[in-house]
Amino acid sequence: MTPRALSEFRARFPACELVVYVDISAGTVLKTDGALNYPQEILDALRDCARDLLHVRSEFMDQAVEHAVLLGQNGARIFLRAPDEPSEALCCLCAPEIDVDPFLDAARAAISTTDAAT
Amino acid sequence: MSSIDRVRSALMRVAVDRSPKADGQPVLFDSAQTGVEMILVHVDSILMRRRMTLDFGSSTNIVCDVAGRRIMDIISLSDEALAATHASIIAKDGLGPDDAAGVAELLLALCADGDRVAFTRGRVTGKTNALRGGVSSKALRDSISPTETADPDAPVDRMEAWIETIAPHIQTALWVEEEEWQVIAGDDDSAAVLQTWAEDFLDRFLAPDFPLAETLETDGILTFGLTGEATGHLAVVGRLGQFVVASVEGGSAAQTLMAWRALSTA
Repeated sequence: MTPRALSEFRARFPACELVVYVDISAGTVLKTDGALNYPQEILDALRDCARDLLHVRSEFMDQAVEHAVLLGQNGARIFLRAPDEPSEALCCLCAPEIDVDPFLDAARAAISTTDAAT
Repeated sequence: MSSIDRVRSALMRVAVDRSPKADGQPVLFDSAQTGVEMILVHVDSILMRRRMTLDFGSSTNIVCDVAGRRIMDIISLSDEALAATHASIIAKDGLGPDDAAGVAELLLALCADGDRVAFTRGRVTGKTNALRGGVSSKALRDSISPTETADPDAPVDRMEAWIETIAPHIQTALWVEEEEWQVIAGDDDSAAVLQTWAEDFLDRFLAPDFPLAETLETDGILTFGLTGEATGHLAVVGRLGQFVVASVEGGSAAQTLMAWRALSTA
């Protein structure tokens, strides 16, 4: 996923405050785009949440988790696994009024974007 | 704390978890009831045992231990007159559910004498995080506004309303409250499998080192959408320590989320 794709994706959703592109297997924050310049601790915390939530599995679910969304009174945290690179994921911090379905569709498209300018 | 550090810590708590934090800054209230509600909002956000100091200005402060959204113990009260009036509560070595009315009276009295309160929190050393006993925030709210809970026309609980909304799509659902598990949809076999999954899940994601635990336990919904051709998803709703865990077939995870959000804003 390119920095431009990340930025353009977030720009489409004013309710999205921060997008973090991570490698959950390597434990690495790859790219970020946010309304503010967030400290590394926040990025690392979101990366760890993505790792924990997207790795939830059990006999009840015979397939891997593609996305996890936590919606609280004051915000939504959205975690999406890359369709083609299961170790990579997007972590998004959004306002609670975010429209989740179109947001997820756009996130899937964005995380699949490849660009020689990466 | 420098201004940069203050902004940094504010950003941290906004991004990691948006529950109210005690920062020592006074907040104003215009009635005793409003003041107590502000206190209870903070109590609601404390899961692990913490020592909370409430400073009402004019050298009046009260120190209490809070855990699991309950006031467990009152450690000290600087106002001697109030301490004498409420000696039966202050002197107790650990509060219990029967103390709700007494604690509510004390908090109302503290707020009646002031117009602001500042919160600070510290760790409690040498004690376990046992969640038995204490006075819950719900019991305190009921003590302060008993007529609200007696209203026969009051809307049904939000969790029940949410279940009714998505009922056509629910395969299996469990209601969890204080380690009591109740099957509310589905057969026994699927309920047993879901309970096994949910026990592991709640142990892991309500642990204090998981940054989203407070949101999930206090007022939040978490959904898991699956890869591939799967048409089902899982949802966990938390509301003041009660949980519903459901496997849902049909409809998207986003629709399940939106059903909860619509009830939150209704």
